[in-house]
Amino acid sequence: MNKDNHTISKAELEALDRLLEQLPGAPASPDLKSRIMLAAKDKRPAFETDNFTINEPPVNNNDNIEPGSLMFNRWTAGALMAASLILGIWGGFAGIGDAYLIEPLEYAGIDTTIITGDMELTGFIPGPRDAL
Amino acid sequence: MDANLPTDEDLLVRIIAGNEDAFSILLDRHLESVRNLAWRILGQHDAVDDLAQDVFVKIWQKPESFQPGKAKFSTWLYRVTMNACIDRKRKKLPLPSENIDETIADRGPGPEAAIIASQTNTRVENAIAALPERQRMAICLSYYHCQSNSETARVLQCSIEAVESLLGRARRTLRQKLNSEINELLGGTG
Repeated sequence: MNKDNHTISKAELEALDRLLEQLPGAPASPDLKSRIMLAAKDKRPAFETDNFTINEPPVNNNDNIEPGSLMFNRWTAGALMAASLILGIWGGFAGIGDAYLIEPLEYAGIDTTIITGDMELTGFIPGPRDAL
Repeated sequence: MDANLPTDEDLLVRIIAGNEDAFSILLDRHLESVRNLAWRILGQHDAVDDLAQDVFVKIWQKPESFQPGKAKFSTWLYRVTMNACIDRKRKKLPLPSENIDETIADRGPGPEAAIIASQTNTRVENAIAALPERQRMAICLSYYHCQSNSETARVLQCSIEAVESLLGRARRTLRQKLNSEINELLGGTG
């Protein structure tokens, strides 16, 4: 036998082939196919099928909505959200609505010193209103 | 294959339309191949059934992932299986503490010759299991899945020369580890 690590004779190769080819495969798993079929049914995509067909309307399916209206809804909602955000930030910086926030607290007898103090960091000057 | 039987590609077209029968035929054709490949790569444990299930459910969910012009279905299927094996190993999902010897013992007691054959098989399986991952993949595809070097190269995403190199190194390692078994065979035959 050739002991060289870098070569393998034809006879050795044939013997190795025989050893490898005689190995048995994985033991049978008779229930696996039905298990996979069940799992596949559970996870099937939402398409109409010839075997899986269920006579129910599609769920969570936007196909029945016209593309134009869907796009309009998305853009409108996005624009409204952006406008609300901008108005909110602008209103916060400008102090618009502060009185409406503070007055109910004062009416309820809650000290608003801390609140107005925090707001000063954003440029709110309570003086003139306090003077009123 | 019978000319009247649908090809794997035909089945996939029907699976894309949600045809359960086509999926069932595909399972009949390829489930054991996938299990055996996972069995060799993962090292023989119950996880092969879970892995085979994952592979086929993925195919059911995304049959359009297979692009017929690029490779044979079996080549693509083995690639998907290999990836699933690699994923499972990387995630280090818990593996049952099944012993190879116990597995073979479970196949049923037999005469002395069968026991000796089982012991030889165990040593061969251990030698394969000890190979580096890509060498083991190349050996498994070549010996147990009748893949040509070019098909193996597609599955392993490397060149044909690289596959030849992997197979050569694997065979040399196996020859060293299975020296006594090979000597016995050589002595017995000549």
